Amino acid sequence: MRRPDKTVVVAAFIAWLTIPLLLMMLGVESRFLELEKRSPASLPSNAVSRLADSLFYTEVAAAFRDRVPLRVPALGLDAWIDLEIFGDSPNPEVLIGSDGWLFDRQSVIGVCEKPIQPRRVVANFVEISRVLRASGRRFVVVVAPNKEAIYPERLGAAGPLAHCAQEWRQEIRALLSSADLPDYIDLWGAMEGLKARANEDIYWPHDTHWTSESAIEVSRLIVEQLRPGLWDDGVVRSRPHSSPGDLASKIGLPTSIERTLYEVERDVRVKIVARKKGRLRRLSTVGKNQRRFKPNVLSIYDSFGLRYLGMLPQFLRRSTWVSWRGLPNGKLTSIIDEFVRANVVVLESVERSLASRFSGSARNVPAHLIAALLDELPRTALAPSALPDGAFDLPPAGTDSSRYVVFDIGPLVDEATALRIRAAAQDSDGTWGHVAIHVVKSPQGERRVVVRLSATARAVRIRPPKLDVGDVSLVDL
Amino acid sequence: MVVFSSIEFLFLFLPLLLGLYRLVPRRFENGVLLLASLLFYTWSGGAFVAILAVSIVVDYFAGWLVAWARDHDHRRALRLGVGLSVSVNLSLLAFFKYANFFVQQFNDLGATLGLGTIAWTNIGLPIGISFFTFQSMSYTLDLARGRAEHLRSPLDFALYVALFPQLICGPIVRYHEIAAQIRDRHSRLDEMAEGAVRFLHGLVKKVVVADAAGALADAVFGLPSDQLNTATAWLGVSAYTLQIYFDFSGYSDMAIGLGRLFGFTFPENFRRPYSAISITDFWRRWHITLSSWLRDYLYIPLGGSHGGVAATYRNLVIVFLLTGFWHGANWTFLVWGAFHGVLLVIERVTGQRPVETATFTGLRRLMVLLLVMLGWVIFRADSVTHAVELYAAMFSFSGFDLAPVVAVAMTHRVAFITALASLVVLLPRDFVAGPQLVSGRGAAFTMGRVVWLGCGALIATTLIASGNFSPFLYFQF
Repeated sequence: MRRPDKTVVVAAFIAWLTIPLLLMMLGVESRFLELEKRSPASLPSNAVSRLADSLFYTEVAAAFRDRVPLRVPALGLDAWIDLEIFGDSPNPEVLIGSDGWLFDRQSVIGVCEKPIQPRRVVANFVEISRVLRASGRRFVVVVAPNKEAIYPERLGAAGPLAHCAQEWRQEIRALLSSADLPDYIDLWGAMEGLKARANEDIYWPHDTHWTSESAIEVSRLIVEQLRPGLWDDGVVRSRPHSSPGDLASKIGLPTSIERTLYEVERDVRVKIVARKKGRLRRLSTVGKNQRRFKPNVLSIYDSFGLRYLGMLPQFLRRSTWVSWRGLPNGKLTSIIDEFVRANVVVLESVERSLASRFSGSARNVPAHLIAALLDELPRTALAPSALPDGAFDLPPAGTDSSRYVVFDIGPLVDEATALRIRAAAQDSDGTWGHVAIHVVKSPQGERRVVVRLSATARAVRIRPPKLDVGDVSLVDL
Repeated sequence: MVVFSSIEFLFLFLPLLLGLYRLVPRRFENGVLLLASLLFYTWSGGAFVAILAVSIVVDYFAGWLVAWARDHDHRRALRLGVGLSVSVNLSLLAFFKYANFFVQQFNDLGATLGLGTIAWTNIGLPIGISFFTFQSMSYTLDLARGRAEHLRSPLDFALYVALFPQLICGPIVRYHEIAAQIRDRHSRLDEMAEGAVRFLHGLVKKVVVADAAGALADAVFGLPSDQLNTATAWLGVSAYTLQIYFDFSGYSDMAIGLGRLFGFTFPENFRRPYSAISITDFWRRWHITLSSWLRDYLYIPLGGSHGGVAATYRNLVIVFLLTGFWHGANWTFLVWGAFHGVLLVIERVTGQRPVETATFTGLRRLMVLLLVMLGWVIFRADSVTHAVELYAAMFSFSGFDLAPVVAVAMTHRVAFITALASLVVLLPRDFVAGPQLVSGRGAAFTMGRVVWLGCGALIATTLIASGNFSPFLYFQF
């Protein structure tokens, strides 16, 4: 290198290294966090006593990274290079479709990476529905279609990635439609119909969610499902509205897109009656001469349902709203008491989360509901059989029914004993085999052992034999 | 962990250190660098800085003893000094790096044979221990051989061991290579310019190239075996071949550049290794400082090639088994080392060694590259079983569709960068970009510096700012 070259190189290098720090010292702040929707990491305390703790430096680094200026232009340039030069997504979690449409990667290929049988998911819905219906409640199921389910043609080059998810969707859609779910609302069909007649896109091109026009349609369908004739199209108002888009923010290029915002404006006042830990809201409506659905509604919703949170309550006299995000570990069993309080449960889940929400722990929900609602369920008391070891004979069951036996073991059973409880069932060929149990505490404080049995089971027993078993009930649903 | 390509290092640690280093009188320069180096290590390794301190204290004392023994021709004291240094450093390595592995093997064997197991809590790995122990040992070994003079100041010696640019990832600087620079060096415009160019060159290699290839390699190596096919496996191995070279050599370039900024001249660590025309040649080009260290302090003391044919082969295999094991406590690294050792023996047997007049050099390069790639499979695999699955997929010649995860990782940017990097790897063998960019004169080199370093550094900055950086691969060794 010649000397002038060296001077230029060193000057440029020093400038590159020092400008962010100098700007920071001059008070220029990072706007990066606006995109991330969070507060900056705080500076660590107790610096002197933690000098040998690498976590201390990690905290310093995090605080510095959050405050260093020029991150937004850098992020924007990086996104621009990816998008405009290479036609790539700047964030691997976001897929670039055609005509500027963005898609959530996990939504498009999630079920391909972690395949979960649709049959298992639907079976859980059916079990929950049967328990609720048997107790006199209604169970309205709505599945918000993924964006790519309604706009597959916008996937562009990412289209081939969605094949296995499409197969999964077709299977679960068919299963849900034919399942024993009388209050299931097919939103895939509804959204396809709306797409065909709508003037605007019914999902945001740069966001994972549907637009307010879709939310209005879903509100209408739910209201009509609850009480036909209650919906009134005259209450829908519209005005221009723009949204930055969650997927656009994720790739570092938030862009405002304008669409028509639809809102419901009824002559009612929605009041928040109670709020629990920011995850539960009880609403009631006040308004004269406005027809409303009187039974108590429990609505479980996610970010799609959030879009109709401003609409649906206007048609409900009393409703309780619980977000999936607010459920501890995403478990429905944590709000069993809310199911008990409700007359109608409206459960909404986006398609992409079905597999995770209704496979693992969701299998426990029917047992918890049975334990909680036992007094409201049609049941038969079982008497001890002539068989040894305290077994109970079972009458024949219908082939398509869900059969449960509930053992009341009183409120005093300790945890250690509860953990040792096992159950076995005798099959039609006379053999005994272990069956899964759920030891559940009912809202009344009773401990109950709930055993799910097959239709071919002839008898059932639980261990340890010295367990002080009270009533034993057979619940056929 | 702080890495050279992190925001906090580039825009906080480095500018503050450079500023302070320029401000203090020359006699305090080593003190400033030592403090910064210890801070750098503590930032990454926390309380493990104590292990570094133990190595420094023991080797300073051992070095003093060796120097005294050499001056007084006292052979027993000399052996004692060398023995102390080698045994303490190897014990540190054995305990912190290999104890978990050996206990695991013992317990697995004990469980299989029903002999019981040892209760053991896994020990954390002090970052860079493989590098600083080797470097520290070279001090006493060089003193014992009379290749350098004893450092009187313990602070100067501590700086030699702990000097942050090469502390945790090399190059392994043998003491005699840097002894004079510890006490007397210059850092003016020339050194600053050379250091800046070399540092930026390494940064671009690491952040722009290695991380792009790494995204692809990670996607393939993370696949379950049922999703592996021939095309996917070869793509993954090729991507990893690029990743490990650009990652490690990029780090070495940055370390050499940082050293230059403070007036040090570190030895080169890479010289176009994928242009090698034999495995022997490869090891003269790949991780040169480790090869040199093992040659000087292990292979030659074992007898080198002077003990007859069988002894030479034995020495080669021993050295390469240990080379493999140096990289990590896992069977995969041992197999990788053995693979290279056996290849070197085969080359000796067949006479396929590098010669100036070799014919079919292009073909030989491809053959060597293929063998090296086969070696990288076992090196990168999580286990020997995982490697076997990958080999099976590579040579089953079945399936040429990419798994969805890999297809998503294979963006246009990644494809472009990896294709370009592959071309660079296959360039004529005498062009080594790092040193050439520093010393090259003329319009072409000026243009190269502007385009490669100017644009490259800008792109690297945007990638770093958007959080797309990953820790260096060699930190785990």
